[in-house]
Parts: sequence; C-alpha cells; structure tokens
Amino acid sequence: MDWSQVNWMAIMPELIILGFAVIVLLGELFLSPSARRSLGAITLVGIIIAMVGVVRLWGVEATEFSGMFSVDLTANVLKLILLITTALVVLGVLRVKVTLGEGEFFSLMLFSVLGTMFMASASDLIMLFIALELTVLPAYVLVASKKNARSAEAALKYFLLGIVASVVLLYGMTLLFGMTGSTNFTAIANSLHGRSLEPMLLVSIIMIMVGLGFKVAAVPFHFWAPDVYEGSPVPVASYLSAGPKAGGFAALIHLFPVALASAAPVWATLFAILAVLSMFTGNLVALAQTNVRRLLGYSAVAHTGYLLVGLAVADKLGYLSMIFYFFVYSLAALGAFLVVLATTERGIGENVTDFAGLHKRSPMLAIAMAIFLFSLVGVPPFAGFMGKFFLFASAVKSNLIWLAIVGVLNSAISFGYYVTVIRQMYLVSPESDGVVTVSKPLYLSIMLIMAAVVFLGVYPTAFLSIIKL
Amino acid sequence: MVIPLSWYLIVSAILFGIGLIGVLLRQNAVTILFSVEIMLNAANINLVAFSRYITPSAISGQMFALFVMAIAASEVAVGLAIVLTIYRNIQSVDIDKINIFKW
Repeated sequence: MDWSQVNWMAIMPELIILGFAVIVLLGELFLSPSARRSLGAITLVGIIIAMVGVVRLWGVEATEFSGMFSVDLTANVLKLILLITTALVVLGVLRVKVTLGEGEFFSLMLFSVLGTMFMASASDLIMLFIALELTVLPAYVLVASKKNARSAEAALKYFLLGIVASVVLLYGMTLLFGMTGSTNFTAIANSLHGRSLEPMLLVSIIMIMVGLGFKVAAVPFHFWAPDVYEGSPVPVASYLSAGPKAGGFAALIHLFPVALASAAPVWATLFAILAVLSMFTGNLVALAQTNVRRLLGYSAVAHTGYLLVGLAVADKLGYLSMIFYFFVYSLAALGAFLVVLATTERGIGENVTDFAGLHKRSPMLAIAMAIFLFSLVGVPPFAGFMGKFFLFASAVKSNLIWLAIVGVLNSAISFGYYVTVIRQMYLVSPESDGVVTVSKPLYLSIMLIMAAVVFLGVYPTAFLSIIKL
Repeated sequence: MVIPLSWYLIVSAILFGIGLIGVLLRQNAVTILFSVEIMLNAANINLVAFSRYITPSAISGQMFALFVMAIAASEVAVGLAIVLTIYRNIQSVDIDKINIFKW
C-alpha cells in the first residue's frame, strides 16, 4: 500500500470525531470539576464540525484504504442522520447530570458514534466487524453506567446477547470468506455471481442476518431492546434509540444488496419474514406495557419491522424509503425519550399513569410528546405518515401488497398503546399541579425535533430531494 | 500426509457447537463468557484454515483472525466489568437470579 495515494479526506469526519473523543476523554483527566461541565459543549462542537465534514464530502463516490472504506450517498446520508440525532441528544443532556463523569460519558458516546460511522462506510468484512464492535462496546459500558441493579441487569443482557450475536455474525462472515476467498464486498459479489445457491452460502446468510438483526433489534433477536430502553440511564437510552441503529441499517444496505446480490430473492424473503414477526411482536407486546420506556422499547422493535420492509422490497426505491423512514422514526423516538428525560429529571415516574395531566403541568412537553407519538403511529400531517407512505408504496410497487397491508394493520394496532399515553396526558387530571420546568438546552432540543417532525411531514421533499428519491 | 481443509472445518464446527451449548445451558455468567470465547476461536480456526487453503498468497484471513483476537480481549474486559457490577448488586453471577425485567 502506497501511503501517499491514500485519500485521507475520505475519513475526515471520522478523524474529527476520533480527535474530539480523545480530547473530551483527556479533559476528564486534566480539567477541574467545574471546567468539566463544558465538555458537553465541546462534544457538541465536535459533532457539528464532523457534520460540516460530511457535507463537504457530499456527492463524492470513492473507495479508499484498499477497498476497506467507501464513501457514497447512502453512507453520507446515514452518517448525517446519526450526527444530527446524536447532536440533539448531547444538546438535551447539556444541563442534565449524567451518570458517569462528563468526559467519560461523552467520549464513550463519541467512540460509539465513530464505530457507527465506520460501519456506515465499511465495504469489507473485517472493517464491518471491527466497526460493529466499536459501536457496541462503549454502548455496553454506557448502559451499565448507573451501576444499580436495573442498569447492571440491562447491561448484562445487552452484553451477553450482543457478543453471541457478534460471534454468530463473525462465523457467518468466515464462511462467506471461505467460499469466495475475499473479504471485500465487491470482490465477494463478483465471486458469487452466477453461482447457484450453495447450502454453505445459505447458512452464512442466515448467520449474518442473525448478527445484524440483533443490532437493529429485529424479532427474534430483540430481547435486549426493551430491557436496555427501560434499565439504562435515560440519556443513554435516548442515544441508543436513534444513533447506533443507523450503523446496523447501513451495514444491511451495504452488505446484502452489494455483496450478496446474487442471492437477493432468498434474503428478501427472509427479511419479509423478520419484518412481519417484528411488527406483530413489537406492537402486540407493547399493548400490555405500563412503563413508558419499555413501551417505547417495544415500539422500537415494531419500527424495525416497518424498516425491514425496505429490505424485503430489495430495490433502490425500497432502500431510500427505508432511509427516509429511519430518519423520521429516529427523530420521533428520540423526541419521546427526551420528553421522558425532562419529566424524570423533575422526579416524575416512568409509568404511563405518571404522565396524567401533563398538559396542565407543562403544555409544551405534552404537545411535543403527542406530536412524537402521532408521528410514530403515522397520523398525517406528521413526518411518520409520509415515511410510512413511501415505505409501503415501495412495497406495493414491488408486488408485496400483503406486506404493505400487514404494515398498515400494525400501524392501526400501534395506535392502541400510543393513545393511552396521550389520553393520560390530556384527559386525566394530574395528582399534583406543580409546573414541570425543563432546562433550556433540553427544551431547545425537544422543540427542534418537534419542528423537524412537523416540517418533514408537511414538506418531505426537502429531505427526499437530498437522498434523490 | 496432507491434512485436508474439511478436517479443520469440522474441528471448528465442533468448537462452535460446544460454545453454543455452553451459552444456552450454563447459568454462570462467567462460564457463558468463556463459552463465547470458544466460539470466537472456532471462527478464528475457520479464518486461518480458509486463508491457508483457499487464498495461500493473500493474508487477509490471517489479518482478520488477528483483529478478532484483539476484539475478543476487549470484549472480555468490558464483559468482566459488567459481571462485577452485577455481583456487587446481587452478590451472584447466576443468570437465573437476574430477573428484574420480565417481558
């Protein structure tokens, strides 16, 4: 490898994030406790600079580092979504007491973001595996950071299921490597081209699907999601609800359509099955939940189901609708978590009944929560409606009408549990009428997300023209 | 006598199976952690064997195995820390006793 030929510009956003992660970590070591409070702001600045870096790479199509790392529109869009949602989380928790030291918390988060960004750009099995581990290892630590029984239990379940999924994924990758003699996605595709579906390839596809299915919390690999969403500290749960999944979906979009293109009908069918299972399991179990965070956890599982419809469609339109819906979903889910953060910060519990009469105690929080939940159901004019519309329309165009019908049916089921929260907020009188105050950055973050959810619902072309749908 | 590739793959598959059984049947969190290590090493045997027999001129498979070893080490570090946190909370590492969250 000739080092002068390597285009370092291609990994500039990643290098910026890496630099800031190290700076923030060192800040924890050397700064005085009062100066450490500024580390959150430094993290925010770093993420915004990295966003500028991603925007500067817009329209660039390049594969660097001996085919390890590729920059394309899909990777850039997913990185930008990841950075936007992470920036909103960091903005939201600026004035919130995080569970670890500020420097540790934000640098772990940045390292996880770094892994996710590499995952979005990985075009090699080695790169993909390392990036995936870099994403999840800091996440395990963050989940455990509260050190109480609930946090530790959530972390242990996340960790044990996570490493088993990683190993299964790795074994599937080794089989793929053995069949094709290469770890590069394009080379794998060339080698598999025209070959019939060997049993070993099928085993390898299923194993890779198990590993990545865990990442995005698809049924039947979803068991960690509700526990982690409920048990981890709320800022961490907010981050996990949006950010790391971008990496999982980026890996799915890059690995399956590129490297395994010749086996497309097989994995498309498998994804359709996973989608249906995730939708029904997530929505039906969510109906029985009383804890808001756990409810959002099962709602996340259901939404993974909707998103996998895009992979079941297995064409460009499907992937692009999936990216759009992912953005819309992660905004709404993140917003809902930040509202939960705002209320738990003021000592309000996490049960659905604890939200009783929220509109009297904090009208803006209640209306924001209602908008996020309506967007998650897919009620027009909010963004969730447009997202689901494009996703199910792509399914109909590919003659998967039954899948679109299952999706719409599930949206109707999901209304049942989202509406219980809205009913509590607006129709039940509160136990105390103390006003819920929210710290300014958190309020700003929630309002920004609310504006984005409404804007993308009314004017989705703003984003769709960017991803060229 | 030259050992054929399939022998390595059989050993690797057996190791993977042993590890998987350990993960599914054992109650001790540390034992589960070590069962996963066995599975990781099964994958490493695969990588090195494929690298030697399928692509003898390239070393990408062996490089992959090296990275897997590094990752396995960091996984154990994080994993043992989490197990320690669990132990401090409930004085046990038995996963049957870790049952705050139901479904």
